[in-house]
Amino acid sequence: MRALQPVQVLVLANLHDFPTDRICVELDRLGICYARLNREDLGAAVVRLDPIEPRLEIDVEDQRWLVDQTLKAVWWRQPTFLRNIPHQPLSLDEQLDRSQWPAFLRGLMLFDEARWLNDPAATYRAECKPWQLRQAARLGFNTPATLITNDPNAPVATTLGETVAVKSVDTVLLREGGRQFFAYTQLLDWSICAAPALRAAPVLAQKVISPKLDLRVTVLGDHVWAVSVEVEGAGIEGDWRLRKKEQLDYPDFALPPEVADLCIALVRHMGLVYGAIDLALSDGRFVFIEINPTGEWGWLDTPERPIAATIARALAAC
Amino acid sequence: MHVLRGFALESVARDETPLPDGAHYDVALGAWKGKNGLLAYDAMTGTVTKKNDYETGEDQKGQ
Repeated sequence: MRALQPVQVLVLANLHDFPTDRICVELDRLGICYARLNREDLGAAVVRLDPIEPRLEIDVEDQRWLVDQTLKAVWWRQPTFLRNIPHQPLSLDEQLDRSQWPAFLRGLMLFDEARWLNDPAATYRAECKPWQLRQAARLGFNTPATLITNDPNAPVATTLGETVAVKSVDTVLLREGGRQFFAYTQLLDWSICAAPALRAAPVLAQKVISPKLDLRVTVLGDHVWAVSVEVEGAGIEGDWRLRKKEQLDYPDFALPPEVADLCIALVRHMGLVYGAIDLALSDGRFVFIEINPTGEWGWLDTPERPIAATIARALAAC
Repeated sequence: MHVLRGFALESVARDETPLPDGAHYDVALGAWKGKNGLLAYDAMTGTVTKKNDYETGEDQKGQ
């Protein structure tokens, strides 16, 4: 039987996480001993965890890995919130799988002497939009006037404007039969929203920022990469994700140093190492929109913006 | 109808996210390999784009 290989960096991902492929390749180039566990493979893997010592042995196909107190870092790419609501009853085995394996993975937080990118507990809190806005304002970011409400009679039109940016409080991904529904940010007349049906769930209403240039600021520790999101060299009204990807350009954007420092400070303040921050530049002001503690970065990783390589070095250098 | 439902974008739901054709996952490396090398660096696969019809990150927002 193959000997157990000690692991310095543990990668917890899923099979479709292609950006994490890049990190693994970079770790391999750095000569780091690492193990990647994919959520889908766990049913075929064998694990033995002693939480007291602590010591974890993992067998996957012909690989045998040992994780103990010498573990230096963890790349955590597991769902913090499972947003894919089942549209049909789950079998007993499916229920067991969906409850116990995520709990096992969360339980690996017992390796708390390792550096976590990101710490799942910090990610849980940082995913909350209301908390994000409060922290960003507290640190000195410009933030859009906001009201979260299910009250059709709330004074939104008088405080935020007749037309508002309507968002969900958390990602909306609904499913009925073979159809699914995803809610993007919409610029709407509040009178459309202020129907009795609003009582069913709160929405996040914000003062419209227009015109604007969307910025994505990717932060890893003290590293900052900023791009603007443009169509034909101009900013985009409303939610840029509604545009076809072929239309979009992501040129580098030179953030003022004080704004970059604020982004670094926000990520750190939230207990994170990594964060993908959405800003809007409007009328010379940088306005905080939200932070995605688990936001995707693969679409921005280029030789000029070596995000994967920098993440790998951050994991290796712990 | 609630505004978040009324203005949500409808699409066809997928029960399973397909795995790459003609490629295999290298357990030791922790990466997919295709005929032309690593899939993660193959621009033709579109595997690392933001709008890949599903997000590949841990947030799994589905869009």
